[in-house]
Amino acid sequence: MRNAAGHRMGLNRIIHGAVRLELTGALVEELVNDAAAAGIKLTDVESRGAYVLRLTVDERDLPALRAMAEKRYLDVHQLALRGGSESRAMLRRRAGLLVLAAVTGMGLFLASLFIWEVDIRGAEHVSRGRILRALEDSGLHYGSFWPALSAGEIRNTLLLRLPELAWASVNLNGSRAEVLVLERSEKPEIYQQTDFADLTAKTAGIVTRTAVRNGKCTVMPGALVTPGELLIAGTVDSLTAEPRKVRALGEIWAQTFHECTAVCPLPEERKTGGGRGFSRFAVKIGEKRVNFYINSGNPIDEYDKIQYEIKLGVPGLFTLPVSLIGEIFTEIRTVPDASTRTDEITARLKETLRQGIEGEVLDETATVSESDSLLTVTLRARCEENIAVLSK
Amino acid sequence: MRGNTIAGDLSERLQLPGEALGELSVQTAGRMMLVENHRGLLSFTDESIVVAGARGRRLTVRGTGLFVQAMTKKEMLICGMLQAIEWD
Repeated sequence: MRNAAGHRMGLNRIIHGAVRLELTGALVEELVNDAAAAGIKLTDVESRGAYVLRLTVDERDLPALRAMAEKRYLDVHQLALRGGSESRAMLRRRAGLLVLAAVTGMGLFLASLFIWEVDIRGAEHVSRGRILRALEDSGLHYGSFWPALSAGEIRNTLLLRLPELAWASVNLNGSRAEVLVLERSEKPEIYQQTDFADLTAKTAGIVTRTAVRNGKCTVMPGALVTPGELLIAGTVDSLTAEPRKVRALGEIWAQTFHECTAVCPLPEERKTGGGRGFSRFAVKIGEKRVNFYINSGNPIDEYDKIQYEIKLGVPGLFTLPVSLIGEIFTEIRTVPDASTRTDEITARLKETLRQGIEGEVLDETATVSESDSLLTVTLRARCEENIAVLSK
Repeated sequence: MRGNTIAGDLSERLQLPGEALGELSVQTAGRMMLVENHRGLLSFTDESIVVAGARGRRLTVRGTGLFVQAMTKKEMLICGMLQAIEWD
């Protein structure tokens, strides 16, 4: 907002009001000095010729200034009024605007008393759905009245329902609930040093290197071992006493060969772009959805759908129970293509193989064959891995 | 030179900054001038503003389009095209 002189007005002036005055008389400078000495803040003081000054003061200081001017026989002419009583008069003339502002403010306040967004962070293996169900059991869900909730009780319920979690924290901030979780890490194997155990081969292979920390190694590099064959014995010979029984510890690395096969039906099709499309919109208020479209004649089964939802509110501050939903439909068009499926299956097989071995894959070959409307993908790999496993 | 008051005498003999003892002081930046420790306006036009200071001192600011953007009991902000500052 700017005053009559064209200068920006501060918020204080807008709220309390600012008056632009023109003072005429012989002792205008003395009036300015007296006003400043009395604590009246003067701004935009301009000279408009001999014995004429224009200045701006707060509306609340106007009576005092007028009294000073009267004592010095000066004329005070009000040029303009901004903010303060002028704004209040404008609002009185527009009662509807005030009512709307009040209703909006009340609506925002009431909306902030309910939870409209649950933000879960830190969950990697525990699914979001399980956590939400556990939260719902404790009373925290979309639309719940948060002043009646206790963050501590919700946290305790969550930890009881989900033993996979080691720690959880629940923060209720207005219309947002922030749930932080930390999953438990696997407990390491605990054993006694005096336990007796051998290490045997879990799969066949050619030994490449050995690393024995406890026990007696029974194989040499280059040896061919079969599944179940003893690799590190827990019985250690002694020249001066009876053989000692220990828990064998160590790693026996060997070259191994693996074969994985996957079968799926033929033919496969690949999606292509360029299909017709359309979009539609809806508004979601709480749990209720209001569609801004009528049922169209296009069967949506033949279309790919992408849906996005925009929640209204200030990110990180508060969220309203209103969200805008947009859906984009694109017609599905496909061409026969088995290569994409082959690549996917091969990648899956490789991932499964890597997760199953304790080592590295040296080289791998994938072969594809088709017969009787079936696609068969076989992955053969040469690996180097630790084949020693505990055998009690 | 002896000042009219003990404070003025001290500021000269001990070389203390005048504004610490209530002397009229100015700071200029571009088209703005901040005047501190003033004792009021003596005359005001859009080409010349005369400000009173302590112990009868005067500051005359000459220029064009001069106006006082803000004024309180002790400080005054003069804006406009500043051309000359005279001390009496």
